[in-house]
Amino acid sequence: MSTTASRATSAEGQVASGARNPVLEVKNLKTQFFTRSGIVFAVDDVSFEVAEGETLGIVGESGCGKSVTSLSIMRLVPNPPGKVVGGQINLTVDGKTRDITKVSDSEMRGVRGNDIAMIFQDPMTSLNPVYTIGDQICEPLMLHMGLNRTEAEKRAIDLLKRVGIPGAEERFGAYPHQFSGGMRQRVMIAIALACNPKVLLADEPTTALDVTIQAQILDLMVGLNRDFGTAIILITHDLGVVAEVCQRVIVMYAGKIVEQGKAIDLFGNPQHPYTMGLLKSIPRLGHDVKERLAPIGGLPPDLLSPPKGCRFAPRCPRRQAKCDTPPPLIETRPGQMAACWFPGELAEDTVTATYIIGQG
Amino acid sequence: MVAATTNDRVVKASSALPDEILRIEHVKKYFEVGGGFLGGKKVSIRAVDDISFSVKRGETFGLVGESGCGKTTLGQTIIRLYEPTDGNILFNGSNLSKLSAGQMRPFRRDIQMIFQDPSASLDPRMTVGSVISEPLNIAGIGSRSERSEKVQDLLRVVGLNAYFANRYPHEFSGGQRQRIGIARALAMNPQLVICDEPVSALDVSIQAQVLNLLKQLQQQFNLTYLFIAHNLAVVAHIADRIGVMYLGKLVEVGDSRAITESPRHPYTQALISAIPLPQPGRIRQRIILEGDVPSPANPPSGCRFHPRCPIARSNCAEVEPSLEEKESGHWVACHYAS
Repeated sequence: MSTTASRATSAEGQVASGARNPVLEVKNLKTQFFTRSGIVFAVDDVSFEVAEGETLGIVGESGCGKSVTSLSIMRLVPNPPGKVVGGQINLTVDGKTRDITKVSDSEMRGVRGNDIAMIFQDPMTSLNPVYTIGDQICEPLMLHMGLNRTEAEKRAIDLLKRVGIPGAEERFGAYPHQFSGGMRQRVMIAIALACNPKVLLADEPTTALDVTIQAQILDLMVGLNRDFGTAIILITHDLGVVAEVCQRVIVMYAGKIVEQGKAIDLFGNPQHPYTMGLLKSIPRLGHDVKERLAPIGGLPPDLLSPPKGCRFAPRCPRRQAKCDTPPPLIETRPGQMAACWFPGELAEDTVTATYIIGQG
Repeated sequence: MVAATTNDRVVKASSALPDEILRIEHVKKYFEVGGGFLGGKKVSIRAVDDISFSVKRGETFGLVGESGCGKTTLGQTIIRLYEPTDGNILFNGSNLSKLSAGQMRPFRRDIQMIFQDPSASLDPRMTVGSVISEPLNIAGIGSRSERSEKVQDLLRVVGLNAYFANRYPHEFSGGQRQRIGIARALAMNPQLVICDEPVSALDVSIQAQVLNLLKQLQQQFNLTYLFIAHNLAVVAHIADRIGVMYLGKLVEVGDSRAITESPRHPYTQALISAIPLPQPGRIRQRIILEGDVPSPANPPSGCRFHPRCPIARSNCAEVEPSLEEKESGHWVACHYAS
């Protein structure tokens, strides 16, 4: 299983990212939580890579392991109860590759905020309320880049301007509570970009924002990726956001990657029944508004005791006896991979569509 | 069971007013903040400022807007969880805004509410059965066994097992809890259900299940919905007509199709263009609004949208546009709407 996955991943990398070098490579990552009720298999054998300047989306619903994946990359999984129990995370900076699951804590502090930066969902809880935003942007600059206070302030004001904060000089001394949600998220992005990171991990960066503000922030992120070549890993539950921003997409379900491919292929020709179900569940403008949605029946499995075979099988309209064996992630269309024994469009889909209108 | 009684009451009430179940006239809700013991300047937050619309029997009226636009306050003012500062709330012809708490009580049966967060709106120490039957107990409807039978009926109606009645809310997932909240709202055979962001806390696959359930129940029990949400795509999916709110004001009202396909107010146009669609590579014109929503404590003069409006002219800062019917059933509050 693991050999299949890693071979397939490198093939995918070549297809999607061309000659560009991978900056971050996640190999067979396993993160588990050791709780009183048992072991939670939160991330189970996940492999993917991100090339320089690429935008990769990781989508999935609550509990699918997308956030734990990003926390594992940053080594921020709360321990106990959580632990990365297996796999490698190879980070390549200036031609040097190292496995950051193995580096010391102090070396890791040099990676966080410097090579890999992260922005979180809620900008209010991730900014410190008792420091001015200027102080908070200067901190990584002085820490990682060795600037003195004056230089740091100058660059901080530059950064604030770049992320579109009006009156940057005056706002430099303001506190987080004096900013709106969208402005706080801009400040977070300014902090994340302070040290020119190679990879920006954005975990639900616009979920707490209104849709018109979300459009501003997404626009800003796309611009930064274009202008500075920062690779972006965007983690979200919103398929629309992924389609707007990402070149390549990974769909996760119950701790596993179930499908990955170029955004245009994945949305146009979903291979995994879960991806298809997700796309059919979203109300869209422009479609016949009175059309009934086709939700996925049932609930995601309990990760304390996930199904033995395919984890989606209990909710899957295509389930057959073979699904009791875990399906490998294999190429089902050029450049597109799915972990399913019966991928792609099937003739009997029209029949199954009525079946999946199930009950929670 | 439930359907029959609902229908009887609907027929009786509708003889007086065939079409309209709810009419909101110039409703205002201001909150006074500041002042008092610690001093400071007293300001009033104009959360809902002079809003009028009506809802037809059996339809779904969607209220959409971003955070702070006053949509939730308006919903809660309609059932008098907030006292309106001014204006009339006519429900089947009775003016709710003028009633005492005692006079209001019978109307509370007819108007029920479904809340956003299903884990916060269910008492964790009550079984599902007692959560659903509580309104029946309070109203003194039926014997103990009749009530228990009704609870089981309601659970089945919302797609849950009848034996769930003895379990506690924490044993259920978010989508299932929302179904319990819906069952509780239906217990009193309401005519109007105010749904305040009923699916925004749910994952997309579960969200679709609950939206389909709400549609099915509407037909089954002849319900009228006031559906409040920030997600225009969700609202457009379920609503027959939509009102778009911005900073305490209604800026556009019309049929769902008209609002989503030919929006006339520049704010609605921007709102629609900002919705990310799951169609990569699509080329479209996106209107990105600059700046943030201003504070409702000190709203801009004239048209409240003018500081962010791409087509604002000088008089927009001075004269407040009123909601005018630009074509049949399509109302817009803008001096220069297309």
